[in-house]
Amino acid sequence: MLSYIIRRFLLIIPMLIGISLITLAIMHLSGDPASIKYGLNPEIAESARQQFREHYNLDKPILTQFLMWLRRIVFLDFGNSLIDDRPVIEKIGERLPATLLLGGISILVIYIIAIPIGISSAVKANTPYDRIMTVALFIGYSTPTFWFALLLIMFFGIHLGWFPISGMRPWYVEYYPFFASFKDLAWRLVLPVAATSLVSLAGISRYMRSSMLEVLRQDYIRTARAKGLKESRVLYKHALKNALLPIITIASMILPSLIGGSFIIETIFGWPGMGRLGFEAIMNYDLYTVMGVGVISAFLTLLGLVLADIMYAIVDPRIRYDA
Amino acid sequence: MMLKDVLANKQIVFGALVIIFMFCAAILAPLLARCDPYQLNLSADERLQPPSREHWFGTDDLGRDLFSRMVYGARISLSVGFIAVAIALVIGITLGALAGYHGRWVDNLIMRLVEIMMCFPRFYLILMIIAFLGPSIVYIMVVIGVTSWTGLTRLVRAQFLSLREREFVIAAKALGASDFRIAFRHILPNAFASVLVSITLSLGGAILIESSLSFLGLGVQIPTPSWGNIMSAGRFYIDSAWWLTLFPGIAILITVLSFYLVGDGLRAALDPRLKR
Repeated sequence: MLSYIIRRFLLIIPMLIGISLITLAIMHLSGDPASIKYGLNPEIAESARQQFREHYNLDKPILTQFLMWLRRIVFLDFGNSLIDDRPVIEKIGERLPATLLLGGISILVIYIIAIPIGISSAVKANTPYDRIMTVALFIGYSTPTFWFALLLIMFFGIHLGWFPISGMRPWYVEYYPFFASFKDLAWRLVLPVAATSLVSLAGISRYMRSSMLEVLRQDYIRTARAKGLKESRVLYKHALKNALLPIITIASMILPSLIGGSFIIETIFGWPGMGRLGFEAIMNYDLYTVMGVGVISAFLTLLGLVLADIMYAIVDPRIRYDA
Repeated sequence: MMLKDVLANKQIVFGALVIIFMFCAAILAPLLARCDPYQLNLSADERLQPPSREHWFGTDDLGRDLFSRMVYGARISLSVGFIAVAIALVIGITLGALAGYHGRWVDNLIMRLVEIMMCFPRFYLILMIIAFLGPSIVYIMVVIGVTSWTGLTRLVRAQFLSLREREFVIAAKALGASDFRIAFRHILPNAFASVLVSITLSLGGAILIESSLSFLGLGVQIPTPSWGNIMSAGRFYIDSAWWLTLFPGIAILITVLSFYLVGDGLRAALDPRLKR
């Protein structure tokens, strides 16, 4: 088990190398960050531009830049932002809690809604209810996230005016008592969480449905029914426990889409998270921030997958990763 | 027999009809569009008009007819989807066949590569490449294609692993067929059904990514219409001109949904285990 975990985590090394190489290479193809930052501004003399390049090591050959970056990253130093010269790790650290909050609550909401849908669809398999649910989930799965976010803003934000449409902590919350500021945050989470959750609902409840169907075909379920147990006891005591097991590993399905979606959702809702930081960094050609956000998102995805594997091995003793 | 199964499946028939309809609209765009999609009309009574008999879907902020723009937008969205998936298909089948047929270290290497790609923040990578190299339709197609082959590779590899020891492959080998011929003439056709399912599902995904990129301003560039960038412009009028957001979104939703329905239906129809 331990060797399996270590092997999974070792994947971070080629990934790190890959992300930084691709970023650096593309950055070099696209031109000189100094001239992108200062443009044709005649006030900035060539000597100042040269200084800027030297300060960020952008004048060195690409391979040297790459090796320097790798050496620093061992000490968790991601370099400084080209925009405001603050350490990238500090900028990401500020933004990460907002992303984790949004992502964590979304996962919770997804599971709370998807699992009952999956179970009820399996129990009522091939009835009109099951078919309607299937179609509804397919529609949810095909919905463009950003469009759904816009519709939510349009209807609940502007037309009905129920929820705020942008931001996480406005300045005046500082003066609120604790409970009121908590309520404000919860209110502001509603629309982004709804937009984030919709796409993943379908995958998980379909998975739950087929997992439950599989268990319901097993012999021990037939035995339980033959003993004359109540149907509710058969379903919730005997079947549910085993059907729930594989759902844990489904994190591998949600996490990449959650992190990928955060770049759009956070931009639309003005959410001060890592996704928006990454998007802004890309738009500003902020080399080291772009690389930092890439590495941290890849690491978070990997961490989630490994955690899911470990949890699965703990709850299901039949699983062994020794191979 | 297979065709009968497919045609009996309502899901597939419905999805396929919608897709064919969208294709016809895209091909016949010049005939269907009642106005020139690039024709500006800045007079106040033509800008941001709600849907009417003249402008079925209303007009945008520059007085252009939204219906015409959406019909032309269908061309872009569908062609980006198809070419991106074609690129992914070539990479996926080649790597999958190599890994499954050769085995040993080649398999090991390719599978590690797949694992790495699967943890990669794909959408972020696409955003970055497009932003740095400058948005162009060709880049979008290539980048989406180059980042979406992992599923296909795993699928083709699995087929090869299970088929490579079967009698018909051994017979072909004994007859002196080349590796290339065995891989592509004897084994690959058996993977056709599952590859077809994967293609239809990827098509929906590629169209979604293109529209997201265009929405963020990193996809198809104005004035060329695409479903995503119409919404991107409509975002600023979200409190007044709902039609600019609603109609392109519905077009994307219906198209993607149809591809998913066909893919899911094919999976059920072509999977012998699900038959009673």
